[in-house]
Parts: sequence; structure tokens; C-alpha cells
Amino acid sequence: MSANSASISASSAGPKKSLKTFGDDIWKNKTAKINAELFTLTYGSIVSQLCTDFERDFKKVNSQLYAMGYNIGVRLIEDFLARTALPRCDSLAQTSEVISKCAFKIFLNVTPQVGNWSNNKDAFSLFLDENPLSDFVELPMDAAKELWYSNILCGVLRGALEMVQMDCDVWFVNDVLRGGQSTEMRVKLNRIMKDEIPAGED
Amino acid sequence: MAIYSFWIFDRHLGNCIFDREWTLKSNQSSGTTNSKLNEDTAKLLYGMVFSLRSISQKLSGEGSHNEIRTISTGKYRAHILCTASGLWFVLLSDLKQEDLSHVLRYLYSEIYVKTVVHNWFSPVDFAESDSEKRGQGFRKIRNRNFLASVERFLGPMVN
Amino acid sequence: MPCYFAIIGARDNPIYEAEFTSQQLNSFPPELKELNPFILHASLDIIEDLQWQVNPQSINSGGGSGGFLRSRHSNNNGNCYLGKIDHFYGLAITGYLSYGNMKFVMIHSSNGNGSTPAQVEDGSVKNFYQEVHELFVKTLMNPFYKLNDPITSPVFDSKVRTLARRYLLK
Repeated sequence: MSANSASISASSAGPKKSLKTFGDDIWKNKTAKINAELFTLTYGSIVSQLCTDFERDFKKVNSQLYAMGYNIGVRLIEDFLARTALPRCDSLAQTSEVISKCAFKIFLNVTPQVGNWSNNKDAFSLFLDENPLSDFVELPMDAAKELWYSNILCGVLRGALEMVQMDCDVWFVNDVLRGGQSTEMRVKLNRIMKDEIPAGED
Repeated sequence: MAIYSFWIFDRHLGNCIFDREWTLKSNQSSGTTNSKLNEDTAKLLYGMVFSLRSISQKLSGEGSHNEIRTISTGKYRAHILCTASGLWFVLLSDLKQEDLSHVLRYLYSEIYVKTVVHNWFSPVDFAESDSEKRGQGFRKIRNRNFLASVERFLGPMVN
Repeated sequence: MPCYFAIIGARDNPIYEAEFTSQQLNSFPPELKELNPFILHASLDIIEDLQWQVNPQSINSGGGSGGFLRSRHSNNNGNCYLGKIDHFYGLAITGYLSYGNMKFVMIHSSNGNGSTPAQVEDGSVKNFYQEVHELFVKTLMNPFYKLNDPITSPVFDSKVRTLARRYLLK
């Protein structure tokens, strides 16, 4: 009930500010918190175990992380919608705001900057100023060229967006762990998928 | 307060992944769960909601959200919750129930999400192949926790 | 004064070593330099003795901390610092023991040519150890680091050297 009324206020007031307070509010009141170190260590042990299991074939590790993320994403979107009761977005610009101010806020308590829009507005970047997955992490020399440590995030976004009928490619362009200036994720919308239509209708 | 039946349709439009119908007011455990017999009813119910939903969306013009919430007929009222991920939750009740959206929201966020979505051994997509899409699906939610929670929550409202 | 610092793992294997010198100060004479690891390892026995000492009246002179096991009764890591534990021809050796049984040891040389015995400034040495300990814990949190493996990270190394400049080479 409360989520419902909150979503109405979120869509009626100025979209930018209210989405932020909306996300903050859900993070504060409706989200169970866990210890940050436990979270970071859990993810870290998964990645390092994958590196061992795949005999340091980091391309495979990347795609495995992506696949794990995808499976999380298709579930997480239901959790997200249940918490926020947000309707589908009208534009990719709105989607980017929801991702940064609500989704990242609720699940990771960070708000990445949105920027670097492509000319025809079908792709944007998310700049993660801080990344709770990679606290304490230092990549070994052999991994620094190929491994996208937080690649699971790409999979999560891809899976979650697919469930709201947006076919997107998501990948990392840059990561501070690899010596980059910033941690940048790129989201590119390929197409908006049509809802399935029952036989006979069109 | 009287509730007659509860239905969940998945994103492959028309696939009914859960149905529960109560027949006797006096006996909460009466009726059917995930019954084959309800297949046709599910299709008709789905068709009604689908048509009215698309009409109402067309009437409200392009680009604005206008989700259908209730449909009233002479004998019953259908309460509908459509999520952005394409799930439909439909609850049929008597005409005294003006608005059961909070009940539907609870069923979604507290029961469906917690017992089905958060359960890694339950599928998220009940159509396992393309041939099971477009209303051809037959898989149902059989998760015991889910069934028990739905009974616990809706049972007292049947009467 | 130049110092030689090492972290010794639970299996008595070296995990990290570094020599701290600066231009104004003399470094270790070459013939002594090679001896440093041996001197350090010789003092490990003493640390292991101290480790099981419950009684505060232990051998250690400086530091004023008692046996390591007293720490059961205090909830800070104040008595991880064992103070000066050994000496070797004018060189002083200090030690620090983490709860995970990592031994942090350091040889302090005197400023001059070995004529005057080395003096240990407990306060700053203790601070140094504690901050290195903190760095070490952060290294342990790195999922790619395995316990008891040598620390090869250049970041760790440079941070330790910064700490050494701040606390030891004054």
C-alpha cells in the first residue's frame, strides 16, 4: 500500500528529485542490510574460485559472472518491482534514472552517475564512483588485462531489463581495478521487445 | 467479504501459472487448486482482461500509463494487478469489495516474490520452451510454501 | 636508524620483507645485511615463548606489555605489541604478534657505527606495527590473496614504506 502511494508521488512530482528521495526512502525503510565485509568477501571468494576453476581463463570467468548475474537479474527485477511498484518507463532517459537512483541505491546503496549519452540516445554509461563489490580488491597481474571483476553487474542489468521488455547490451568499458580513471558500465538499448500477443490478435 | 478465486498469469500471455477456486464458503479448503478443469475458465478470464486492458489503454492515448484495476459485472468483481514485468494477478470477489489492490500487492510482494522468486529451485519462467508460450503453457506453481502462504492469507477472506 | 622489517607467517615462512633506509642515515653494512634474516628468525623462538606467557612478569624489558595471552581479558589489540624481545650485538629486535599468529618482526640498528646500542622508541614503533597490521588485514580481505602466501602487491609495499618514513626514519 505504502509503495503504491509512494510511486504515485514519485511520478507526479518532478521526476529527478523525487526518484532520489524515493530510492533513499526504500533503502532506509524497506531494505534488510547485511554486513558490507561479508558481502564483499562472499563475492570475492566467488570470483577467485571461478578464476581457479577455469584455470585462469578470464574470458570464461567474465562470461560465467555475466551468466550468474543474468540469473540474478531476472529474479531481482520482481523484487525491485514489488518494492517500488514503479510502472514501465517511457524513455531510456527515465530508465537510466531509475537504474541509478532507485535500483543501485536499493540494492547496493550507491548512486552511479549517468552520462556519456550516445547521439541517438540509445546508449548511456553508468559511472560507479564507489563499487561495494570491489572493496579491498587488487587484481593479480595476469588478471588485470582481461578480467572484469564486477561483470556480474552487467548480467544483472541485462536480465532485469529483459524482463521489462528492453533488450539491452551491457558491458564494462573501464574499471579502476584495471588502472582506469573511473569505473564505467555501458548500457545500449537494442530494441524494445513487444509483449507477446495472443493468437489471433494483432 | 467473499473471494471466489485467485489467478496468476505469466508473461507469456495467457499462461496461467496458478489458479485457486473456492466453491464452498463454509469450507475454506474446498474447491480446486491448479485444476485442469479451470483451463478454459482461465483462458476466458484472461481474454476478458486482455481485451478490456488494451481497449482502456488505447482510449487513454499513447504514452501514458493506464492500467486496468477492476472489472465489475453483475455478479462479481475482478481485481487486477499487472506488474511491469508482465505478470498478472487476478482476484475474483463479490461486489462488496471495492478495492483489493492492497491484497494483490501483498500477494505479489510478500508471497510470490518471497516464496517463488527468491527460491532458486523454483523457475522464474514457467514456459520451458517456445512451444509453451502464448497460452500453451501447462506448468504451475507447485511450491509448497507458496501454496500454504496463499491459503493462510486468502483463506480467512473467503467467507 | 635503518631497520629491517619482515612478516613471518604461521608456518614460519616469510611473507614480506623490507629494509628501511634513508639518505641521511647509514644503511646496514653489507656483511650484516645478509645476516638480517637469520637474526630475525632466531628471535622467533622468543616470540613463541612470550606468546604462551600469561604472567605479566615476563622477560621483555620495554613496552610494558605482559604476555600475549593476557589479551583474552582485554578487548583491544594493545598487547599485540611485544616490545623489545631480543638484541644482537647492539641491534635491537622488536616483535608484534597478530591474533592470526602472524609475526611481525623488525631489527633496529643504531644510528652510528654500532658503537652505541640501538634505542627503540616504543610509542612510534608500536604505532607503526599497528598500522601495518591494519594494512595486512586489508590485504587479507583481497579475494586474490591466499593466507600465508608472500605479499607481492606493490601498493602494500609502498604503503608500508610510507609508514616507515613517518614512524621510524626520523
